[in-house]
Amino acid sequence: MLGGIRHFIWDTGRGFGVNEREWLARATLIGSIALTLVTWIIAYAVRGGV
Amino acid sequence: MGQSQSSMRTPLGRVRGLGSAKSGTEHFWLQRLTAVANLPLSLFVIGLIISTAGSNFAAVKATLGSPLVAIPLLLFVISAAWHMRIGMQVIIEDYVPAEGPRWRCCWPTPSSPSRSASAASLRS
Repeated sequence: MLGGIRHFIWDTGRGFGVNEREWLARATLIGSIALTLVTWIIAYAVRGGV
Repeated sequence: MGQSQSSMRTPLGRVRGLGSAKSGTEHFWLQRLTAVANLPLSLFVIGLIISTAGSNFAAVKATLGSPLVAIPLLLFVISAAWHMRIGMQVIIEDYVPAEGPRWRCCWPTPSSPSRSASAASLRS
């Protein structure tokens, strides 16, 4: 999903600079891992450790 | 480069079906459309999974029985599947060099005999 958002950013014409591309790539990777962790934390919090 | 899927199409590119000879723009638009649709729909489905995790069959069945749940779920399945199919086609178009495997493993779009014949004649 974050990869798709990254493509949308590119669609608006932003994010093509050298540093921006690197940052976007890294942010996609780190962000997706982080969001996954957050999702699991939320899931366990809501379900009470099922 | 990561920009649009079909920018400049040479006649050879069109004949060989690169970027989908008939509907490159349509692909581009549908991919963006399904992507935008997928954003809220996927969040909904993730929430649905979290809320039904660990429940018994009857409870989940009751949850899915509500059209308020079933319709977004169905929309998600359709939109995500379509999104994946278009994306996979583009990946194969972009990155698989050999002509044979491309036609065999990729083309859900019906390939007309004339297009295959032209492609064969233009192949170096």
